[in-house]
Amino acid sequence: MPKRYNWQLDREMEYTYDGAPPKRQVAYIFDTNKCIACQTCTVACKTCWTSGKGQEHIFWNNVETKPYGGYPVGWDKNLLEKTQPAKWDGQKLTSLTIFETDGPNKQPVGYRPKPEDYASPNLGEDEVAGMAELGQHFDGTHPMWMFYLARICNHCDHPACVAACPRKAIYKREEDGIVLVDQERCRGYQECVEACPYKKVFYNVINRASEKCIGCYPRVEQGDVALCVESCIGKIRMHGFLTTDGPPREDNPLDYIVKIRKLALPFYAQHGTGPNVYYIPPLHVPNGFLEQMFGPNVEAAKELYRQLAYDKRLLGALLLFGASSRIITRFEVQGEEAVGWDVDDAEVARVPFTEPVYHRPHYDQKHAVYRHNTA
Amino acid sequence: MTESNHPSPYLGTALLAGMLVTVAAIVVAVFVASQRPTIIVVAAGGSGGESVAAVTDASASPAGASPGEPAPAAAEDEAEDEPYVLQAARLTQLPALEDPFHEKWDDLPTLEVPVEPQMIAKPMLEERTIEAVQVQAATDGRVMAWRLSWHADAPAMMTDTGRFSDAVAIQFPLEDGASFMMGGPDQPVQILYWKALWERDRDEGYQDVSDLYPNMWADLYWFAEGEHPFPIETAFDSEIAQQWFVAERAGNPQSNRHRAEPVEEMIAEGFGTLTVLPESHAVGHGQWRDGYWAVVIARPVNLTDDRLARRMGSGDAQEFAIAVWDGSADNVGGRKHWSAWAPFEVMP
Repeated sequence: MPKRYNWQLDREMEYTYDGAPPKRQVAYIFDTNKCIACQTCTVACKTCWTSGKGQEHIFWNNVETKPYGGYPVGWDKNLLEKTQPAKWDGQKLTSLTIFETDGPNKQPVGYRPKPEDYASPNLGEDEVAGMAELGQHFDGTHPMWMFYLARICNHCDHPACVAACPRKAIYKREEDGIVLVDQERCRGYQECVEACPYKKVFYNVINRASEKCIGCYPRVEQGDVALCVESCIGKIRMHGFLTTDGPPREDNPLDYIVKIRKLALPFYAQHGTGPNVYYIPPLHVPNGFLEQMFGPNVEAAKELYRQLAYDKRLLGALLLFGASSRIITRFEVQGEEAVGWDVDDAEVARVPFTEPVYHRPHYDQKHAVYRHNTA
Repeated sequence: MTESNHPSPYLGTALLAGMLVTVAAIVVAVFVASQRPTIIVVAAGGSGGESVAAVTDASASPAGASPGEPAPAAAEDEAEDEPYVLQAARLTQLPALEDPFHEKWDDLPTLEVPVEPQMIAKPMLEERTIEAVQVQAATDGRVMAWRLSWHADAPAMMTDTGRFSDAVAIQFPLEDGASFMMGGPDQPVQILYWKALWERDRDEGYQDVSDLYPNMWADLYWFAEGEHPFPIETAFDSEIAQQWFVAERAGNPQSNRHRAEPVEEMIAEGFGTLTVLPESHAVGHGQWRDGYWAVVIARPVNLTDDRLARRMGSGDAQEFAIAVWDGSADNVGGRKHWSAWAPFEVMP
């Protein structure tokens, strides 16, 4: 098998295919500290893309509660039980990825969910990790923690679904790295369903083909963010592109947050697929759990997040989350505002660091009415 | 155990128990080294004995024996000197396609074709659950009919996540020297493929969600007509309601809800190149009964089948190979049982 460099693992790795990286790589940042699991993203996606017959169980976007939630049930635990525990030597992964575990003539390590595993997308919702004991108090992390984890396809650098498909019916687009199932060629073998570590490829019993998140590519081609990103009422998401044809750019918000500052971390990077949804880890959750999920940089990312108020440029980049339905490819901090430009270099967002305060008197002279706070 | 390279293209006699590991290892080694399919013939038959042809003759079987059942030992002894070749019978009238268990088949010669788990290309089949397929052939001069039978404890005829259908396929080389491993570049093979799921579609209607989950409920199917459970056959006729049937709209043959036959014609030029032909002339019918599948696939010989038409009755042997999928054992795609080329000749 060819060797490919996986920057998230700081080493080369065996992968089925060799090939140049895409011209730019679609990527997302999700701030877990802001997600309230309202599922608006889930509904926006499902209503648009997966509300047909045979797609009843298919959620390209879902939000689950960690530690106990998961859709399909146990997707993460089931794979972790079949792989080596992740071992890091600094930034370098020393354990084996799913492509290396069983050797070159085998499929990536995976498992195939049972149909009933898709039946309870909300299982474990709002359940906390443990019981509160008498006299317990908050001291920085919660012993009975939980957090919400929004999940979509990771449009990986080295997708397991692409590696597993014997028909080469799954491909990674050269122009933006979006990973798509060719709906004309797929014969429903479900090798991709088994191989995807994130279980984000689904089998449709009516179409008899596998389907996955399409990264809202018709919108991306117009320069618009994905529906799950635009609809996010908590503004936890940013959608953009990582630079692949040169060093990370300071003025690209994705490059800046993910690669230069490392505030947002890859998700189960140890599996080796090079996932491209990056998460800002939840501050109140113990590092032991988070490091299994987000790798060795959890504490550093948390510390950056705690210091955001004194980190104007990083805070400026975060202010642009949810600020426009256009994909922001360039940003700048100008005085007390963060400014974003889209692919056409048009200014599409200008967000003040401090929200303006408007004082509205009890009596409005212009309209001759009284204002009050109760209906 | 002795091995030797022979020019003969027939691997069939080699595929006997005890030889498998050696043969597979050699094939894999040569395949990996040369990146080309390789045919190896092994003189088989216990410890260096004569080759045992796996031919059985229906006339030697006791009356009423189930199809696919191994012939009794006496018949095997009798058949020892028979060449490993399927005799395709000439009939004035072929057995009715709709009845794969038609008694007429009992009188025709049978070739037991041993099958192996596919272990050459990813994804591989790790466990063998089918030993052999009983193959028969007959022609009336215009149509060639193949009857394929094998043991299956229970039929697998539905599809879902992790649920796969039984299937069988017969493959022919379209160029001399094409590999039995789905052909190769510029060496195409033709494949006639039957699937139990399609048989069920034809008999009971296209498999619907409520066939899998009788208590299913969905709040909303955009633009669907009618009432819950919104049958796939009637509720989604309008174009606007079909927007979510993406694979079907893209023309994916897998998603064809109006398939006329449970058989598909395909060509391939190596692993991963399987392509459904836009026009299929093959017809077929399969039936499961008392622990056996019997599947008949028929196809006009003179349409595109130049090789077969040219050689019919000429005494020149043709080749075919078999692939068979055990849906209950998660066989799907490359996870299949397959045979090497086996010879057949149309009786004069």
